[in-house]
Amino acid sequence: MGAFRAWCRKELREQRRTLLLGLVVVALGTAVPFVAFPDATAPRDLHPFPGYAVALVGVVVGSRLFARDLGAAHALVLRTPGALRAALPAKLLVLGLACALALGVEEAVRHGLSAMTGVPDPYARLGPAQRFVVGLWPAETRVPRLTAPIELYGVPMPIASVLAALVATTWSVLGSVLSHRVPGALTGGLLLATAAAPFLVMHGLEPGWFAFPATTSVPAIVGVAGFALVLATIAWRWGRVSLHATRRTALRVALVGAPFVVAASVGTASAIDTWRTPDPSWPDLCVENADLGTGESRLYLTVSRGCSSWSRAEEFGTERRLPAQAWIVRVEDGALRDARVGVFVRVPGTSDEWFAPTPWTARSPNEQRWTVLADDQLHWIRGGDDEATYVARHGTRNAETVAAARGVARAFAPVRLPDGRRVYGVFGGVEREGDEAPSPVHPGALVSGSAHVLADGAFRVFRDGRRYEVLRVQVDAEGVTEARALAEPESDDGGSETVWLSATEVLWRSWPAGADLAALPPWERVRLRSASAGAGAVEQRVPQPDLIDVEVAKPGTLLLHRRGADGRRTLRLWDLATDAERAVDAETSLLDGFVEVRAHGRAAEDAVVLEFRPCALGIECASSLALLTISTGRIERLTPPGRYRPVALEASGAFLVIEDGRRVVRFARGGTRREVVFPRR
Amino acid sequence: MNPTATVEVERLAYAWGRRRVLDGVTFSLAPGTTTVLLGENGAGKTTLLRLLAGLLRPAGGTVRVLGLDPVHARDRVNQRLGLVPDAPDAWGWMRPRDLHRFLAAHHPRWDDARAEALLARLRVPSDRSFRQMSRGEATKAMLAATLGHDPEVLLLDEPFGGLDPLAHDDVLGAVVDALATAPRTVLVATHDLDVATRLGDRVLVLADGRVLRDLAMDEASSPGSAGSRREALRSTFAAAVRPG
Repeated sequence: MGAFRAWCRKELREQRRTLLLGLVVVALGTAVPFVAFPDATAPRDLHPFPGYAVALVGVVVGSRLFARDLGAAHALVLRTPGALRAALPAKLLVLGLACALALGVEEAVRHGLSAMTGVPDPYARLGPAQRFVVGLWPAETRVPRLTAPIELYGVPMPIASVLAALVATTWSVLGSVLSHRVPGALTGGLLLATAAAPFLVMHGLEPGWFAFPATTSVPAIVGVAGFALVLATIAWRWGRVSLHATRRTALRVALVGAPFVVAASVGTASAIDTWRTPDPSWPDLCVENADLGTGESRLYLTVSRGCSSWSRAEEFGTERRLPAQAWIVRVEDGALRDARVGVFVRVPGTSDEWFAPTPWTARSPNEQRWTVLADDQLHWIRGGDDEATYVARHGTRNAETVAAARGVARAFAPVRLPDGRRVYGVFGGVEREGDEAPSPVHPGALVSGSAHVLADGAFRVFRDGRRYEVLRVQVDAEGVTEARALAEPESDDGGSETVWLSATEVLWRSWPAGADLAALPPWERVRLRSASAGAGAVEQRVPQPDLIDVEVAKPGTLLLHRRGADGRRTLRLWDLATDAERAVDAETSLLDGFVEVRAHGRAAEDAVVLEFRPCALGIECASSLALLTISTGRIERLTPPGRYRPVALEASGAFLVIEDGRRVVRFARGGTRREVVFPRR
Repeated sequence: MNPTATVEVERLAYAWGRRRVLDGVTFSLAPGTTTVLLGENGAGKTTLLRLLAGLLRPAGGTVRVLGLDPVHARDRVNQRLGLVPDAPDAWGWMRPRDLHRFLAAHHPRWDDARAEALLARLRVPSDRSFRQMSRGEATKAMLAATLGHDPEVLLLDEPFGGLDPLAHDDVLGAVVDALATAPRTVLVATHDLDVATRLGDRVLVLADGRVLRDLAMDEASSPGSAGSRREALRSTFAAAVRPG
């Protein structure tokens, strides 16, 4: 038996009771919220649990592992040839094994109890890399990046990391001094290295994760990691030759390591402060996204310093940015405040419909704004007083949040019954307004965050993160009476578009992963599928030999982007009901790039036409906006050529756009007047 | 320096904090000899043995064991050196066989049969862990474990303290056997003058941080008027540490 195996055997034998006890505590602790508070447990509450599990077992087992032999307190180890050399890797292996077991037990218990109790498992759809990396930290790091600031017990993560380093160092030094031994210092160093490792990994995977500017993040991380390394090395080196490490040894270790921590802490803290204050005057401020609240009194902005968006990289010269912030700006005077929710994200299914009749563009007495924090969570800001409420969208909420979640779902439901009541998907099922209870006919495991009401009762449903189905959901006064698949489930790796055209037809476009859309034969790209037929029905392919692209101008009417025999591009409207096709205004021939159409929220006869042009990294950027009046086929330019991203169409007819990724600009109808709404000078 | 010495110590110094325990210790051990180290409590006997095993770094002076510096070549020295500590320091959960398995993985010259035979001869209960053993049983188990790799240099730190008469004789017998089976250089720190006179070829008396006497055993324990070798050795020791 080799020395390494002998040490592994010894450590496993010595730690088995502690490890077993730790695993039992992890299992019991994980079970507590499911068993004791099933009605008050949200997925968000479960996010820290893997971190807790690793921390508990890691610290308990780790401190026992490293505090005994490696500090040279044990003469038998020192006088056994080669024992110290083999001890470190064996101890690290056992520590890793213990942590892995803790994660495994936590995962198994959480998964099992989630299945038993119905409380959703927040990690069910995350990939292994995400689970592993973020699982080391008891924080909100499992929430996708574009969400709330990462916090640890209410402390922003970058500050928390510094605090953690300081606490670990203090603990290490105090432990060393008090015990007159090196083990404390060594354990502290190893813990510090452990603490730094997830940051290094996450930083490598996601450079924008930290609130460290590029110029200071490297020194900060190198400082923390370097300190851990130096601490461990010194402790190790001196521990080898000194049976009784003295107070002087411990202090020496602390003194050598302290400058690293100080440098890391000061650099990090100063870097954090620069971006935590909402200030629109930063020269590299990037407006990533903007929405106009109902009532048109507030702008909901997602901003950052530096842009990560490819389309903005051209203007900012970098794809690197600091974590985004969510600002609420008063349109009237430009006053702003940090909403402290990370970013504003549109509810899935509406993200492309800039001018759809959503609550923030339609007038409503309850002005409100939502931000999706995770699949099952919304952050709800009431427009009237900007009061923020977290709403979890699954079935084990309290009455208030359940009502709030229903309110959200109702607001997003354009489907109405003949008596005027709305139909919407919520809590994994389908409900009718005024009859808030799950339907007896369940369309399957709707993932409520991804279920998308397309039109009259048709739901596009993501079964999991990678596949989706389109279901025809028949709703009447009795509730959901039928849920039928309209197509075979498809992988989400490719692309698709589904638009309900009439009571019996759905337009279904799909393409495989990685396909060059422009290179596909046009007849592959426009299909009509009978909604009355089930999955696998033969599709009617519509020949469109000169078709460049197709968009839906409004339900039942397609906007065809054609290339004429003379090479000129034209836009034509095709009424599917009458099969009549007519040309749009001749001005469209001026459009020289990709054209995209979005339904106009207020006037069914209007559509917004976006003209795109090639920009950085081979992608298309919006270069102008126009309004297409479908009834007349006329196009009216709304902006001069530039770099735009549409925000909203105001009641006055003026357009709000993000210009150059730096400001929000209002164009009066006709493009005659331009006014900067944000930032105000 | 004596090139033929197994252990060579010159002006060795060591301090615990501000207290200078050893200050200019000089001696050498010839191959195959057994030397008894005498000294009052706190004289620095255990410290000296640990310095020889490379467990402590000297504050001054030099130590050579088998021609090597035990601090910088600790692993190489300890492959050929065995130390029986004053208090058994095996992990409490281990049984003697567990300890043997652990040591066998590290010592290239480990002989499991020898260690097992010693355990049997010393009547060490093999099914008990060190935590469950008496002081005498644990000491005997540590002695068996130390002799398992057939060390050329054997350091015994008060191995007879706290043993009942039977265990005392067992340990003494084992040491004598070990000396008989192979040429070993032995340094025994002990307060037991009977053992000292029976085992030792030489006597070192450690006091005031230095070796005050370095005598052949015959010279140190010559009966004379004291009446017995033990009494003679006691007189020599007393004269060295408490003159006048």
